[in-house]
Amino acid sequence: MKQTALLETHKLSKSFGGLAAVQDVDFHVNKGEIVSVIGPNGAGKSTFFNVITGLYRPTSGRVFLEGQEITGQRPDAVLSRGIARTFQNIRLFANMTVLENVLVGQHARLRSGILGDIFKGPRTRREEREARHHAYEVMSQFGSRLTGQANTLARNLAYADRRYLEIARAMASNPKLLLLDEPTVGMNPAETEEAMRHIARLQRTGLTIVLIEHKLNVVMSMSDRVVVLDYGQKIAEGTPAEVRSDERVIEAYLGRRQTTAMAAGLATVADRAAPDASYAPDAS
Amino acid sequence: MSQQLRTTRRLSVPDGRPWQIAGLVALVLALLFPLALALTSQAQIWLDTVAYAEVFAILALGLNVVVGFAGLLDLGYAAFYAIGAYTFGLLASGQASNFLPGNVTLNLPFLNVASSGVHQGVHLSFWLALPVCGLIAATFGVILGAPTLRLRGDYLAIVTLGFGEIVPEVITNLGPDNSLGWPNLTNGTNGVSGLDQPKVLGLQFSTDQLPWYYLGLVALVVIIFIAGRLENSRLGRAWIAMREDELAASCMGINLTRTKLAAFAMGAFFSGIAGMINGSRLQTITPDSFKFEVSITILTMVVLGGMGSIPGVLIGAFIVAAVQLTLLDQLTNFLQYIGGAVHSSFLQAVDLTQGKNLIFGLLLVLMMIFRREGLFPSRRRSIELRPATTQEQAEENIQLAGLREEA
Repeated sequence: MKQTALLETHKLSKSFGGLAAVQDVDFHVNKGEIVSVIGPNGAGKSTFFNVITGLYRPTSGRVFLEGQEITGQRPDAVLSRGIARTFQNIRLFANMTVLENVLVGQHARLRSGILGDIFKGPRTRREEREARHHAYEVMSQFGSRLTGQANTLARNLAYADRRYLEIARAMASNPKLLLLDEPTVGMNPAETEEAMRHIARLQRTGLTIVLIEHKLNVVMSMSDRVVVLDYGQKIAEGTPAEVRSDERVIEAYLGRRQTTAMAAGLATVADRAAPDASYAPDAS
Repeated sequence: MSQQLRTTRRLSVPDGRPWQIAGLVALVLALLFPLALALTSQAQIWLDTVAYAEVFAILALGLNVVVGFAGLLDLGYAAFYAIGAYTFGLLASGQASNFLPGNVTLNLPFLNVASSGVHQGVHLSFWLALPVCGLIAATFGVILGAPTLRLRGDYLAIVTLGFGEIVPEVITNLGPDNSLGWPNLTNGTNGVSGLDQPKVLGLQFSTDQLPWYYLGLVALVVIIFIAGRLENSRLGRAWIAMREDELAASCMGINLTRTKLAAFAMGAFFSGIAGMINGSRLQTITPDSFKFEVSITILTMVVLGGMGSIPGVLIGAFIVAAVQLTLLDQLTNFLQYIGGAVHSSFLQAVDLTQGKNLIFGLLLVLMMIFRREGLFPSRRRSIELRPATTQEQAEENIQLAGLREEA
């Protein structure tokens, strides 16, 4: 653990007015790991991602990538440093084609300036050609799902394909670290299975991945480590097996055994327990 | 792979081949157009109208970069038109003699400026002034664009509207004996006159509109080329991505500041050149020829033709220019003639040119109701602005239902 982590946060906090969405979170990912961030709805997982990628300025705390501080940098600067992400509610460029989306993902990698774009000299031409090749390489990682519809507008893709396109768009920037915000949400079990295989394969190519996930079967089967957030705080961290048996985690997901559950209201409990039914047997 | 790439290249230009062919045909017709006019007795009037329309088309293409490509609604675009014109006024007329002691004349071999009259003030060759005016307008594009970076939609429109009003005001007030104690840069409400006209290989541009027509045509072709190249480039993709989803674009490595300013600068550059050409052609520039009305007219061209579509915007520009510059006049004359024939005092008093704004306003309203994407939209924009089909709607509903189950 003393090796320099790829990504590290020190006491990272983000408050919105009086609401502490993320509180003093210490977090690290080592190179090549898949780390999952789990927690009930509203635990601050997406906010955590947003602070890391520069969409929000942290209220306090620091973020380091490969030992270098990136706290509070703009999203595009963070991407150039090597952190790419996807969004919980897919945010593709809906009226651009699949190929164009992946090309935009390479924006920071490409060098052509405004004059190069106008005059299209040999260097710009070569760069554009290589960008297209690279785009096809990235897309072909997902079989023919994307390459087969390279000229389809993103808005016309099937749901699962949109998820893959978002991952491909992020991959196109050649990131060191990929942040996936609920990549399998809305997918049926077969699609989830396929998505998991793809994510596992990305890891094998040397990519480091942080995953926000609700489906605990996904989390448990593929994570090297799991970090649990609740009310913005890190309440547990460890291997999937450790986290699974952690008293606080069970409490966060299912509520306290006796009175608190009633106080919190049944609806909340049901809502919080819903993400994964397979969790219940383990808890009992 | 190479097969794949080839198909891609063709298809990734959404408004591809048919428009290219149409463009070539249009260019040939445009080159021959003055020949056809030679048969009529009013060739000069027609050429004057079309040369003016060309200037408008350049303006519309420039605004299209800002509004159509980058999605930034700019209601003060005429400001840069004015800045281009007045920059030329300072660089190529007697105006500067009001505050500069000496005279400066800088000519290029074979391309020198008009040698008529006195050589007071600064007289930079038209061809040297061309990039200077463009770049100065572009600089103002960046300066005026910078405060608007964090604004979107309506707010951006309001701020640019303000700039569009401020610039002609400032120009009016930088005349003789201004309260700031500044030199007389603009000659106030009287405007600058006696602007130089270009000379190419012994051909001196003057009131004959034929050379102006061809100059406008060349400028237009160059600008169409530039706009087309930009549309399908790294920067063009960044503009579209930014228009689609600013936040996602930013997370994909697009520097929003730089990308927006590039759009403002590019649009202003075109506008500055248009201002300079027209200033030189008319030899006179006054502040009130760059008012809000002009911004709106240009925006009408862009919206009518189809935001983001280069051929569409061109056609829109020529339609609006035709209505504004000649059709209303012709129609008015025609109605008055009829009125005279049938002894109707109402028809005789009709003056449609007074109702220009009403007509453009109505046109915009009708467009928004019946064809929001414009007459000749880019494929992308037309999809964007058309409501989802029921099929798509159904799919989305299914997905939403799925999401609800998951959550």
